[in-house]
Amino acid sequence: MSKRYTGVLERLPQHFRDFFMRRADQSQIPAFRSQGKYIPEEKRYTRPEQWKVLEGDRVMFVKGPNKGKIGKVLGLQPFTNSIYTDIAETEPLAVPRQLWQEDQNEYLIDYPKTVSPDDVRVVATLVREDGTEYDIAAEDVIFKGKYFDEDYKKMMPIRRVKYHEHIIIPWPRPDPAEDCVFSTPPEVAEERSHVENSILQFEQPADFTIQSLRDPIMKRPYKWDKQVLKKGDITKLTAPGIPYSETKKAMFEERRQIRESQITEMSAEVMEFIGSRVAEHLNNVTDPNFKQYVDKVSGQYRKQKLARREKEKQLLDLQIKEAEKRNKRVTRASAQ
Amino acid sequence: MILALRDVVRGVRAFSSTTSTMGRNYRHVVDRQLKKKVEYKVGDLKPRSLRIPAEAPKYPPYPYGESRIFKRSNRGLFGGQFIVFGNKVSEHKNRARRTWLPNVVNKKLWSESLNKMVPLKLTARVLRTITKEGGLDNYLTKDKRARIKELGPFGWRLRYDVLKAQERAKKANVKNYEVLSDIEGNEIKVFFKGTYNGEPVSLVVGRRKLLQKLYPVVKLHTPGNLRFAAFNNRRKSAPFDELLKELEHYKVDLSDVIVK
Repeated sequence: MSKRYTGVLERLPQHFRDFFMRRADQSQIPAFRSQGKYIPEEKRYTRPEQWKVLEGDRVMFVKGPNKGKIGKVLGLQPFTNSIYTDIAETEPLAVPRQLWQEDQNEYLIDYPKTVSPDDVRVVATLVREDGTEYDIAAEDVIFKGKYFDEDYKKMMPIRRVKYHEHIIIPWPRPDPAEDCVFSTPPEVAEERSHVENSILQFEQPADFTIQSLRDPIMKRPYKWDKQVLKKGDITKLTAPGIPYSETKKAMFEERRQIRESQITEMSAEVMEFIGSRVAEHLNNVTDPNFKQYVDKVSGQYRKQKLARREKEKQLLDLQIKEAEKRNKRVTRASAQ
Repeated sequence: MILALRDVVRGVRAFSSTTSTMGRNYRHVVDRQLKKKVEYKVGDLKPRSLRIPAEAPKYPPYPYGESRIFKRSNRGLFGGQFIVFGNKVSEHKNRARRTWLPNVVNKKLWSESLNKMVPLKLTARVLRTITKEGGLDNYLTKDKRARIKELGPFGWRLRYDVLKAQERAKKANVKNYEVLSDIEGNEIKVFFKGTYNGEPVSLVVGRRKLLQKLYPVVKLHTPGNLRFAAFNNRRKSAPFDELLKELEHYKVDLSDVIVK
């Protein structure tokens, strides 16, 4: 397979991917061929909920020549999403000498076939009231609740029999991990080495500043850093404007001249002339209604109106004071 | 929308109450959908999708955009003419699809402003219009709205070239100096009359040479490496008397460029 295809294998359609993987498999010697179907990385099982069985579980086969037999899970094969079992079928496999095991002395070995976890049922042992034990094979399992498993050192889902959720099938105990010289004891790992004195004061010195955790001499700016447009960028983004034609320029000039030639302020003579004509007209009016109207729109009218209102208010105040005095006198007389 | 009513709907009062059915409506030109123009300012956040070109655009964008159909029209003066589709109808009324293409000719036309022959692909109709207008430049620089629609992207760029050339020619005609005679009777070009060290002087050099005299002293008195571009940028439109004052401040010897 050429580099051109392998580079983009994950992006190819499923049938192409299968085709290329088959081709790649065929070109290998049998010992290196992947058994079963190749599973892309994102579809591989990672969590116990997906596997449903783990290493050490007892399982009953429901398919194949071992159907009905009970075996034990020896391990998981993640790249095919399948499991190794102790009573699995085997097939002869030629192994090159470089890959021989310690006690191996011939090329041909019996290599166990893997089984899909869907083809087995988990077997659990229950105890009756009289103390006798019996096995059940769970048709299916579900997961409800979580607990921290000391042996696995992580949160594990609680495995229950489907439709019989009170029956909990415990996870098998994993082989205890042996410490080597590089291991850190749990007491050391969990030891608290730093305690904050205050949530208000930081322990770092006040003049300690750090602009960025990134390499300061990085050649390119980091691509997710927000960038602002500079003057040069704006220049490169801006197209020139189209110049005005001679006709347009002449038009602007003409308009400017017109604007300048127009009179915006009234001269004193003109104002005097217009004022005299208006006064003459108004003085000749004899209609009383029109006079009233002219009085009303004139500037004097508002002043007169305000003065009249003020007068009315003063009168009202006076009346109120007099009434109060009168009331006081009446109450005093009635009290005596 | 009925095309004849387009201007009525837009609120433009028609010159005549009866709509002109003979006028060209430039449907393919004015109905183009244009990308919305975003105005960016200095200091704006740069959108991640925005690509900054290596060079600024050389021409202003054509206001009606490029044609998506009949793209030949983007590369010549087609006068708003496009390919037309229709039927050839036989005597028996059988219809067979056919097209009509504009009568496109290759020509080289003289441009007075550009002072060269301009090779063009143009339609016979436009060629006739150019003849009527009295030359390519007149055709290109006319301001009527219909003419702008006719020009197309190619004509628009040509119009820009012509207008720029005209502007340049006009600027070249305007002299920024006056020719006078000195004491000995020789003709001298006087660019500016002002005072230097309290004496009335006439400058016989322009801004460029004056700034070349000023640059070394300013550079000497400026911390860091002052480049000429930065120096020039600040002073390129400064009035002459300000420049003279600055020269006076640095006590520059101007005896070779001034006449008293």
